[in-house]
Amino acid sequence: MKTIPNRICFIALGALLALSSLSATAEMSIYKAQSSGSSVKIDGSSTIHNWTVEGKIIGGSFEVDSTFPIGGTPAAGPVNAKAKAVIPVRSLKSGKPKMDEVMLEHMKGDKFLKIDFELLGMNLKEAPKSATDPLVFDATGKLSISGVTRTNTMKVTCERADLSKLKFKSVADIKMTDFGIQPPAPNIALGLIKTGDDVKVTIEWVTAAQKSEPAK
Amino acid sequence: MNMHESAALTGPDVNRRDFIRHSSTATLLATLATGAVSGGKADAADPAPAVKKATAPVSIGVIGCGSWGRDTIKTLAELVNAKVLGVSDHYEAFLRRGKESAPKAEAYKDYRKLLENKDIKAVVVATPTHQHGEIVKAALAAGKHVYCEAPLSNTVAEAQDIVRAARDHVGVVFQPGLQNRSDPQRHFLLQFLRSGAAGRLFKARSQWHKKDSWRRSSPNPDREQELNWRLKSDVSIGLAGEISIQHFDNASWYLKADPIAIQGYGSTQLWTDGREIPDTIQLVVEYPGKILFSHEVSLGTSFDNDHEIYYGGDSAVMVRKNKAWMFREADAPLLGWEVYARKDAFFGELGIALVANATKLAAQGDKPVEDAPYSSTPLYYGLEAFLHNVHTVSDGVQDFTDNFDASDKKALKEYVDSLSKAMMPAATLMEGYRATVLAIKANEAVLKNQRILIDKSLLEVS
Repeated sequence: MKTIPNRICFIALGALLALSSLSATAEMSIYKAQSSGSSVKIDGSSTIHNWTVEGKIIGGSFEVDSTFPIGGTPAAGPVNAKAKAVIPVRSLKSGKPKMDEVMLEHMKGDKFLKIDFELLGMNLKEAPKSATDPLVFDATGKLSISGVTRTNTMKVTCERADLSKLKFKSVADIKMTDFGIQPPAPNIALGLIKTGDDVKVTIEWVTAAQKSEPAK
Repeated sequence: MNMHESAALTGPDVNRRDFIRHSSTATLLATLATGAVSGGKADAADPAPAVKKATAPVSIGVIGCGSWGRDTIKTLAELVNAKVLGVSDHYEAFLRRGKESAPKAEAYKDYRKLLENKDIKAVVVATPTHQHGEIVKAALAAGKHVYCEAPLSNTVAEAQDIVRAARDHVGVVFQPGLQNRSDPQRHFLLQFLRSGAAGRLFKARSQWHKKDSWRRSSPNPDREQELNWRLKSDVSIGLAGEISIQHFDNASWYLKADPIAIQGYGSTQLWTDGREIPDTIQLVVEYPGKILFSHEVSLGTSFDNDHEIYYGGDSAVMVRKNKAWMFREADAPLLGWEVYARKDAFFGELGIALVANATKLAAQGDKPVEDAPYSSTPLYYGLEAFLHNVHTVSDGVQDFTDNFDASDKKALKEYVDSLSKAMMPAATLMEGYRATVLAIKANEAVLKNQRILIDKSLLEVS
């Protein structure tokens, strides 16, 4: 059996220690979800009309390495960032109480109370031309709806005109059935009404800067 | 009448073409698509309620177990999302009867003890009117959602206090007991009238007749005094408060305006037993554009019961409980659907039934003979809306506080206000206040046999 030379072991251990030390001291700038200004809009279709469901609550937070020049002109590439966003399912409203009930039932809202998104990786697509231009990222994360988790990558735009507040915008096309949701098809009206599987989700998420603290 | 007033009366919300279109197959399908059908009852007007499905029951307490309070308890028993946990009345016999109507409820002689029960999330206040203020304010302070019977109070000052208290408690539902505002058939008629299908409304009339002394007896003289509070002018606003208030609210809602003056007359004709409140009153309520709403109430006759009539240039619309008919003028344009609608004869007049969905059934070639698709009482619809709205607001407040700073009351209020589109139709706080003020002023007009101006500022609360 071959043994790894001691010298190599020491080098590897040293590198690991250095990395963990770096990680432990990395400062993260934290942006917490704000109670006003956020919105989630889901547009769908059916055999008789289009429909829209809207909500105003998106909780959670966004953290980015404090060395990342959020107010400057960062270079394209990976960004050390973390984010968790939460949308209470029952906060999504259609304007019609009965339709809300149908939606909650199909999304198993009594069991899976929230839509969760956890950021896994973020990549700045290109360097902004100015310090006030929006930053455009490819964000990859785990999206959990109705108990089904899928990893998605979506384009996210970050508006930063006011550095104390960041507004993230994203539009995603998803299929209900990808998350185990059967599009509602009421058996009334002789089965004439069918809801389309494809929906467009438009998110605007407002976060505000919090006091910096070391990442845990 | 100027153009502005005219627009206000026909309303910008729905036009005649829209109403006719809404009576079509497409609307039936759209209505079905949104699921606004339940128990075989299709919903005609978009905002009208139709939710029957159970959500987690709202734990509720009923304060005041007189006849209306007991009706309330029985109605709550029909609603799957209500659970009566407490009943309260300081009069032992009423409390016992209230408890009989809700055997699983805790009985409280003192309403304040009921309010201390943390499991009770909402209360219905069904006590005599002059007791509403104290109880409502205590209930709001205890964080309870409140359904308060109309009128809110027997004085303007206290009604204003209630408004301010309700405003101060963000995330707490306050609903006045103007239950017609939640009635689907009423919403159907609202669409019809606002569409201009009856032509421009230029007058209205309503009455409420019931031969009933209103006097109640008790072996205990003190209790008898208390029981007959409605006959005493220091605490009661009489027939205007107990009866007319619902008619005023209907008229203001349908005419889409607030009155500018009330002329009143009243006298005691049949029940000359020393009461301080007339048993027969007549009122003329003036709306902008010199539109007059005449209204009368009598405890001396039951003849012709209660009804309302709204007169438009093309037809008159009569409302009797949950039914309504349109009486067309000879020169009125044909709407189309009425050809198929059911017709009833009224002493030589032909009433075309205005029944939610009848027009759509006609368009489908089905028989438009459904008598009254919304057969529950207005109280049922009012309480159903209250329970649904309590759920919506409570869930909303919980979602907000789970995610954001709960101490930010301004943001919380903005969020709760944004939930209005998810609420079932119900009378608002200010609609309850305005109807209360009108009832108080109407009673004043009756007692003084005077015309009383309703200043706009009186209908607002700063």
